[in-house]
Amino acid sequence: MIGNVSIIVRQPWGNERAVLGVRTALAAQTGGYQTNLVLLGDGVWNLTGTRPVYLDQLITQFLENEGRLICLDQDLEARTLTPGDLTLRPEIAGTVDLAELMDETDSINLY
Amino acid sequence: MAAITITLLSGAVENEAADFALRFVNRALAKGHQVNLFLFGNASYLANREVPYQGDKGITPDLAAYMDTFRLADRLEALARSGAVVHTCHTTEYARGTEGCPYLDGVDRGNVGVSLMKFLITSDVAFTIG
Repeated sequence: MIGNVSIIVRQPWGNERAVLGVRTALAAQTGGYQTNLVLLGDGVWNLTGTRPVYLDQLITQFLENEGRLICLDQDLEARTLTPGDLTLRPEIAGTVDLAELMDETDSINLY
Repeated sequence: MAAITITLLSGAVENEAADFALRFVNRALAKGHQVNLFLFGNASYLANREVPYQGDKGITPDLAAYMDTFRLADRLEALARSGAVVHTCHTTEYARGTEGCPYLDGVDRGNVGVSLMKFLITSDVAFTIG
C-alpha cells in the first residue's frame, strides 16, 4: 500500500498541469498521505511573482496541512533566481537530497 | 496481484500517451491486476460519448482511417467491461465545457479529493501518464 506521495510539477501556472499537480498534492496531504510537492525545472516559476488567488489558496492550505514544498537549488540557479526572489518559502534541496527523497517515496507522480 | 492507479493527463490525439495508457491497462487486466484509471485534464475528453457529424465529412477515406486510430471510446468501454474502474474529473470537464455531456458506459463522474484518493487508498502502485 501507498504511504507517502511525491507530486512533481514541471510547469509554471499558466499550464493547467501545474494546477492539477497542486490540487492533487493538497488532496493527498489532506487525505492522510505525507506529500511532497516538488517544483522542478520551470515549475520553480510558481514560486515567483504573484499567482492566481485560487492557486495561492491551494498552496497555503497544502502548507497549513504540513505538506512539504520543495525545489531544486540548481533549477533556481539556472534561472538566476535567489531565495530572495521567491514569494513562497520552499525547502531548497540539492540533487542528492532530492534523489534520496524520491527513493523513499512510495508513489511519484509527474505533472 | 497488484492494484494499480493510473492518472492519465493527455487526451486522445495530442500525443501517444492515452493510447499507451489504454494498452497498459489492457495488459495489466489480462495479467490479473486491478486497475483504476483517473481521467484528469485533457484526458477528461475521453470520458464522453462521441457525437458523429451527420453531414459530408469533407475528408478522404485515408484521412478518416488515420484519424480513427486516435479514437479511443470503444477501447475505453471495453476496458471498463473487463473490470477497469474509470472515473473522470468533473472540474477539468467544467473547464472544457463538457461536464454535462453523456459519459461512455463504464465511466463515472469523479473528482480529485474523493475519486482519486479512494483509488490511492486501495492501490499498491500509483503514477501519472501523459
